[in-house]
Amino acid sequence: MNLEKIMTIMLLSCKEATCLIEKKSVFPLTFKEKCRLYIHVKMCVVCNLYRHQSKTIERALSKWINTEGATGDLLPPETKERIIEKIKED
Amino acid sequence: MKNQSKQASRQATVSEWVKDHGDYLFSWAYHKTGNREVAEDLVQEVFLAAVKNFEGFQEKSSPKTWLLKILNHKIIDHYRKAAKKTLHLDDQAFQFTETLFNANGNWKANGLEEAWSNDTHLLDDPAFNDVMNVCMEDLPPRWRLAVISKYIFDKETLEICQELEISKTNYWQVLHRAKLLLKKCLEVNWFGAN
Repeated sequence: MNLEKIMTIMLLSCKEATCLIEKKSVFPLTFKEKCRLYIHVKMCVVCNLYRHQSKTIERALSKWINTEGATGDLLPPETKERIIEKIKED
Repeated sequence: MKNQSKQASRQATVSEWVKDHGDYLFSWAYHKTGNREVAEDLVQEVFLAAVKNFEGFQEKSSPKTWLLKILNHKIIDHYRKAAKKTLHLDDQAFQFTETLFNANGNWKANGLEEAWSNDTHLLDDPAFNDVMNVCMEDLPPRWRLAVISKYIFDKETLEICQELEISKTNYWQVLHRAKLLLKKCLEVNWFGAN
């Protein structure tokens, strides 16, 4: 058995570790999960970076949703007319 | 007779709103759905709903704020409907995220790990938002709904699980996979490209 495999069994794989990082934001981790995640992230540079990237993605998401479309995207005048007609029919 | 004139005055008010706020609502909806026709339909629904539920409008909030709130509900509804129709896309996306890891479940190195460390000014770059558009489009609709409900509308876990008809375990797995897909997409289209 190679070293990577032994480590993975003892201290989570990166797939499991990053899943726990996301789990943590919606659900409390068990004591065992906390310990294994803590040690994994201490030892794994890429998962440590992932934690940071995950936060960046969250900030990007809220920025994205709060951004208006380009100002050039206008509702066509004929659609406005159509909507106003529909309002009158109601 | 009185009711009739009340209705007519509502219709007149909302018609004015179409002229004043139609463009703003359309650009908002277009940005979130990526589809002109869908955006036009949603905006129309918003104004019709505004006439119907006119009592819900309180003068203390601006019409624009109120209309935007209705629109955001309509957008979520739109995502919800799309999510029901496209379950098969979840599988495809799941398989794709599997390829980010090796047989032991550890990261395959891609050389872009460090590129993220320069992300401080990332969000100020207008071009970044275009890339986000692409990446949000790439998410399977159900994953997109999960991500948007959680990170954008701050909904409670239980509410999201009911809406998506998934268990809690499944829910954080969806969030995890959606984040992996967004990460990969940003690396390909932003960090790798710059």
